[in-house]
Amino acid sequence: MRKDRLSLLHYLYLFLMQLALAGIQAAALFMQFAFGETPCPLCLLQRVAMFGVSFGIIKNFREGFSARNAGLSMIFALLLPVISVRQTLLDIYPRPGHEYIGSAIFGLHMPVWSILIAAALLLGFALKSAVLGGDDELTPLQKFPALEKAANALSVLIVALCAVNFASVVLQCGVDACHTYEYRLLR
Amino acid sequence: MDRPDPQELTHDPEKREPVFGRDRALKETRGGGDSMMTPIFALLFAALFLARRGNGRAAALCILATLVLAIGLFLFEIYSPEYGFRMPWIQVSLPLTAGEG
Repeated sequence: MRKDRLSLLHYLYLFLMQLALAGIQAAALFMQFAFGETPCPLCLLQRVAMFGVSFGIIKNFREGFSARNAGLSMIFALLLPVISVRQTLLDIYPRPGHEYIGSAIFGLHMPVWSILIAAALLLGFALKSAVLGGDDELTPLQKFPALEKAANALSVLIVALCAVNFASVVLQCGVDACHTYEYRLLR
Repeated sequence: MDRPDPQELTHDPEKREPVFGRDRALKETRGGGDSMMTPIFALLFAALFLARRGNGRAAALCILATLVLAIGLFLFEIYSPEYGFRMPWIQVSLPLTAGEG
């Protein structure tokens, strides 16, 4: 009984993390298409890092918990601040060619938000380990049919968001450099 | 390296894309690395799709390839032929006044 409750907490925790990631990716796509904010290469790499975190969570949902999956997620969660801190430092001294692009949300631009998101993700994984403990030999997700259905739908949404990003990158970059002033294939 | 001279900072109004001194021109002569974004997203999509379908081993290979390519592209993007990986524009130095140092 206690094991079931602990398992449910683990799954719920990961589900909420995945939901937050899906929301961020959807918001980024919305800003891109609704406000014409074509992403820069480093912005796209930050999306890659966030999808990498989602990858580990999808695998946990699909195949059961594994420290390997959590490790993969954390590698990408660490890649995210490396990229976003560098981009923030590139643009921190405003000069032509290096200034924050896109709109600021609550006064913060996307790379700065990415740093906060990365810190939240790493804190999330740390808290999960500290509070809920190890996640080996937990009850399979199939024992919680409602959550399983929701987790599956969320995984499909993440794959779909990645597909839209992929199509957008093909349009924006083709097989050449990505620019923020045009979609190369729509010229 | 000194703080970049603001006179060197130029802006190309025709392209509507700002450029940083000679950096872009120098970078464009290198070629290659900046064409990796599409393959990265192709591999990422494959990884997520395979993970969703339960093909764990192939998915893991795809995500590792994505990681390697993404790190490579990141290093390419931040490398400046003029400044390397350094960021001289955030160096802080106060001029010494008489009596100091």
